[in-house]
Amino acid sequence: MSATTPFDDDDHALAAEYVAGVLPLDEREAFERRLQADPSLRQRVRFWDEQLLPLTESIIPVAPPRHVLQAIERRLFSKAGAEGGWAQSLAFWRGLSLASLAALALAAVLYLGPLNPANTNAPNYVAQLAGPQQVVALAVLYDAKKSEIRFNRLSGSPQAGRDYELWLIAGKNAPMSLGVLPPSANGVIKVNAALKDKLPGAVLAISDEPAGGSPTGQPTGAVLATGSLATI
Amino acid sequence: MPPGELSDLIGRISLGDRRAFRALYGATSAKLFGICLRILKDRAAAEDCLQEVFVKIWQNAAKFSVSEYGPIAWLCTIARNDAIDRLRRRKPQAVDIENAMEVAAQTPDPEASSISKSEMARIENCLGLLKPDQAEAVKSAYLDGYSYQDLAERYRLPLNTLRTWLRRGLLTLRACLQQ
Repeated sequence: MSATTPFDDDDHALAAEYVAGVLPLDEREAFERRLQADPSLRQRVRFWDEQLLPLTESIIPVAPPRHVLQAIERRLFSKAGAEGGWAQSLAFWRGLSLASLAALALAAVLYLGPLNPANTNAPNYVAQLAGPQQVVALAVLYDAKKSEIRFNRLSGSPQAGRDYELWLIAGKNAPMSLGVLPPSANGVIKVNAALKDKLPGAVLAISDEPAGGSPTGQPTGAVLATGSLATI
Repeated sequence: MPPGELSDLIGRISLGDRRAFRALYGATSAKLFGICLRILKDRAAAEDCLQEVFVKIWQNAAKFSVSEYGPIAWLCTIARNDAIDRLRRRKPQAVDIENAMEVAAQTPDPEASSISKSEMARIENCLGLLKPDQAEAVKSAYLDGYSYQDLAERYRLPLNTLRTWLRRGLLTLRACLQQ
């Protein structure tokens, strides 16, 4: 693909105009609709968002008045106005590219060995766990017949004296521990019977914890990778 | 706060961690409020904008990890987009350019910078390749939220002529930034 075709230039210029903010409202909204469906356009926008970012250094930071934080927290966390982050997040995770999940499902079967579909009524799941800093990446397969999660570590291992802990987040509930990740490149984690029916639509996450896992029952360290469970 | 710590906080927010949300607010709200204020030039509107920005940060934190954005770019982009959307939706009103330029002329403390000198030098060098008017138009669009309409009035050019002129500048800028 040449970067100099008129079509390319057109989309590059449009992405630049969008990020610079010069478009009139109707063109801005039309562009945002295209952006939803077009990953290559999103890459172009990201290029400009990252490249022009240093210009914001010339803007003087201004501490906002205290009532703004209060209004935000009231809106997000008070019972009446509660709007969970997870509903939004899950919609997003479910929207992850089917192609990449299909590829992952195939890879998971190749990596982890074929599943025996006989007598397996409950669905199996796959997930790909990754984070912004690529500290750790896992491919995960839930085998319903054996009630176990099999994982294949694509990269990353904890620092000395630390462990990675795997979490299940179902809906708006607090994370539930699936246990400390064994240090091996691949392995198995048994899934407690009580957690099995939480799996559909759930998200898995890995956090960095003291050796032996979180002392509090909730993540205490950095969240290094997340990914949603997809049915296979 | 180093970008790695900001990424960690956003990761924790994606798991519903309210303390991490407060910590992120403490570390970034002044920068983001500055952005909203600069674009909207109205304190009450900028407060509404900041509120919406942090609601979006809470709701979309899980998207950050796959967005491939750096944390500062991700946060500032949410703020700029919300502020510009607000600006475009509000009834047209006269922008007091002289007054705005005065605000813009103040410079912040470089010690507080979270963006490296080399990144800043890069964009400044590339803007230096444009005609001075073009570079100024790009900056004032990005920082002050001026639309093509505002810029056409400011440079006293027909809208289409101005658009062609600015697009050419943006494509030159892109060629330079891609080096």
